[in-house]
Amino acid sequence: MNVNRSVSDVKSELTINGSKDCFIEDIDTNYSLINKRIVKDLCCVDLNIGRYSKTKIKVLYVSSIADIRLVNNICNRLNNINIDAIIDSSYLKNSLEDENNLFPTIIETERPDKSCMALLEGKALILVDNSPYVLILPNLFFDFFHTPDDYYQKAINTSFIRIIRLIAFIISIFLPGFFIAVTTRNYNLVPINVLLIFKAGRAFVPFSAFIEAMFMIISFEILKESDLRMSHAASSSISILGGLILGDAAVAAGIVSPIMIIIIAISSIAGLIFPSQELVNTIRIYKIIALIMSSLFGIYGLIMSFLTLTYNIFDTRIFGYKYLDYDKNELLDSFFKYNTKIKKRNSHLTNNKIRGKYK
Amino acid sequence: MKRILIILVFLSFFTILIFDVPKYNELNNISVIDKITIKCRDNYYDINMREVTLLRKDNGITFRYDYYKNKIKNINKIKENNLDKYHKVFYYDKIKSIDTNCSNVDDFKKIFNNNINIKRIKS
Repeated sequence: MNVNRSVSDVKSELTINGSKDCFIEDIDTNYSLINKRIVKDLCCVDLNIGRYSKTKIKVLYVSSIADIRLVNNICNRLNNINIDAIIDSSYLKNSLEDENNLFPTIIETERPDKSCMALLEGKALILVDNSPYVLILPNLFFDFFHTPDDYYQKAINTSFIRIIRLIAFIISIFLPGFFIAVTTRNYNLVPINVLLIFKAGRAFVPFSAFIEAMFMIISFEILKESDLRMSHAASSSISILGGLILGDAAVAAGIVSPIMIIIIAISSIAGLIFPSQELVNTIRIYKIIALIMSSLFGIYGLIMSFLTLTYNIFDTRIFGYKYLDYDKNELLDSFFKYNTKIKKRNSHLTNNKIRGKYK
Repeated sequence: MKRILIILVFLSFFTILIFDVPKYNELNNISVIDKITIKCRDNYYDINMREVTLLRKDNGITFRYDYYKNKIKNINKIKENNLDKYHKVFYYDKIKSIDTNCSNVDDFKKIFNNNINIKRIKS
């Protein structure tokens, strides 16, 4: 009896152009979706992990592109897993990534086109039976700013959108902390009219700016979480209720200031621009660190949190690869997209650097 | 995570040592002074400070001005908040203009801002 659902539309990583099919819980169907797109040199290592589940796992790579040491490293780590069952692909992440890294180094995707793009860059895929999410590794820092849509549009449009994503990344982490620094210690950073507007907005708020910001962040996270877990019918009611309570009623009661709601809302929405939930969680942690440091040391605290973030990015490694490393080919496809006559791969991931001629 | 915490503690320690971190004050507790009148008397200065507050009304935004008085002997100590009677912290860095009858206007520019607008008034 076939208990699998059929291949359906993508639910989470939506794009305007490109294919709309997504992975399902059957590993053989998922393999077919990839094999349909990459026919030559696609290699597969089959494993069974889980004492009770004996879950089928496939490690895919393109033999003429990927570094075989990466694949061996992955297979060795997978073979060392001694667990009762693998229910989902996320279970493997604990063994494959370093828990101390705040930044995610393995990405999950339900898109076959994104998975195939990763294979052609020299990365490896892990398919897990009963999981509609495929793991792509190693995932580097710039990969979080890319979506499949970027490769279906003109370079200038893609560059613009990527710069917007970078601005959203910075805003989502540092905007609340900057506001706290400016309204509690470093008043000289804003013009007098802006300072007076902030002061007028907070005239009747009984709490300190830090408490107000934490209250708003926690409320927003509660609203987001309850919206995710509830059914479609209830989630719209929760959104309206949350918006009314957090927005209108809280300001009218004088518990929070309107400007604080705007700041936290902009930073939270900016964080949701990234499809990876892991990165959204990392942004949330750094937002709170920046908030605490800003309330303690003002703008110096914000600079310290920026230095800490930068250090973390440069210090993170996955399977020996640096999370952020200098590579000319990678930089031409990082925060902007530059079309070259000969397209090349990241030289750290593969020796087969030439992808092809596009002109 | 441990390394990040160690770096934060390390940077915090050096920040406190090297930099002068501004004092913590909520916006509700500070008075933004936009204009000062300084009158030179025999052996003291007569200070009149104007606080500006923004008010939102139905017909738009208006400004409310409150005035505070003080007498000091040493002009260099004007920024030290010895106005405990008002229970406020006065913020002087946004002063736009000074009205004065004193001759030592260069001292005022050094204390507040070189670009400040100074207007001469009669005693």
